[in-house]
Amino acid sequence: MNFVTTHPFAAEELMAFCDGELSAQDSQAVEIHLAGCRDCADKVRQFHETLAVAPRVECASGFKAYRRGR
Amino acid sequence: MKGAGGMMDDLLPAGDLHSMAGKPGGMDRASMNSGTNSGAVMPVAENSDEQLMRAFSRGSNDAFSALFVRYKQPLFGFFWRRVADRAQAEELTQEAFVAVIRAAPRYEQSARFRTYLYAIALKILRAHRRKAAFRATFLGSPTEQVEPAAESGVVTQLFMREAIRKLEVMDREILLLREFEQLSYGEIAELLNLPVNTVRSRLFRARTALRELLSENAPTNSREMSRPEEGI
Repeated sequence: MNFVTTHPFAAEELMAFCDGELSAQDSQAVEIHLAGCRDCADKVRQFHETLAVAPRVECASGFKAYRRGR
Repeated sequence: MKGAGGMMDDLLPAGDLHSMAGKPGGMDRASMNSGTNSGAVMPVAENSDEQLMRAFSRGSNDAFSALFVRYKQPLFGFFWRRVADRAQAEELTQEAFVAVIRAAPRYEQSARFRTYLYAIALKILRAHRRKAAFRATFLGSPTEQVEPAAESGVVTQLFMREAIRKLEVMDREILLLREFEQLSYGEIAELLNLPVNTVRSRLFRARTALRELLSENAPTNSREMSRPEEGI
């Protein structure tokens, strides 16, 4: 039986969570949901993977000092 | 080839700041901090961007130097990802700082300095693209590539450059502002005059598209994707 049929957070909200753009209260709610929802946890993992690509590539082209300073 | 850091050190050397700013150089750090309640003199480096810009608008060249040090590489990076080559990025970076200097007497803080600076940079970039398009149309010179620049032809950066280039213009701009300039959704919204929700949905769309494009074209050799010394 599938207990989780709906997800309270849209994919965009999960992305905003990854970006640190949600309020503390909303972030906490997302974290609680992620603990029990593999689908959403996978989405968050995917976002983190995508987010990791561009900065890693860019970072290697002479802007390391810039990124370290942020 | 001259490194980005070396190049930027040549930009607006300290000796030129006074003449370019056209301001009295007499303001010292104590007067720069006169707006603080404590009256204590803070080192320039500890001031916020906004404090520094206000101080510069009142004549502190130290404040401008500090802002220049903070933003020379981010601003150069901003342009370098958006124009065809490094020399153009250098020129545009310098142009942006000159614009900051010229606008300083009229500066009124209505947003974060970072947003203010990137708004200037975007205006300069758009003007540059208009000129490039004009040259291409009427003078027959090659059209400038507006996609993020690449320095060499390694596989990873080509995939990334190609993928980013395929995004819709506004989506690409939002993605770049978020991923590279690391602006918040609110800052991007302010800069591009869009609602925050639009920024969020377009960013989502851009990232989804980017992920799909990268997965379609991923190098077969996975180690290629994680080379540490290659840039976009």
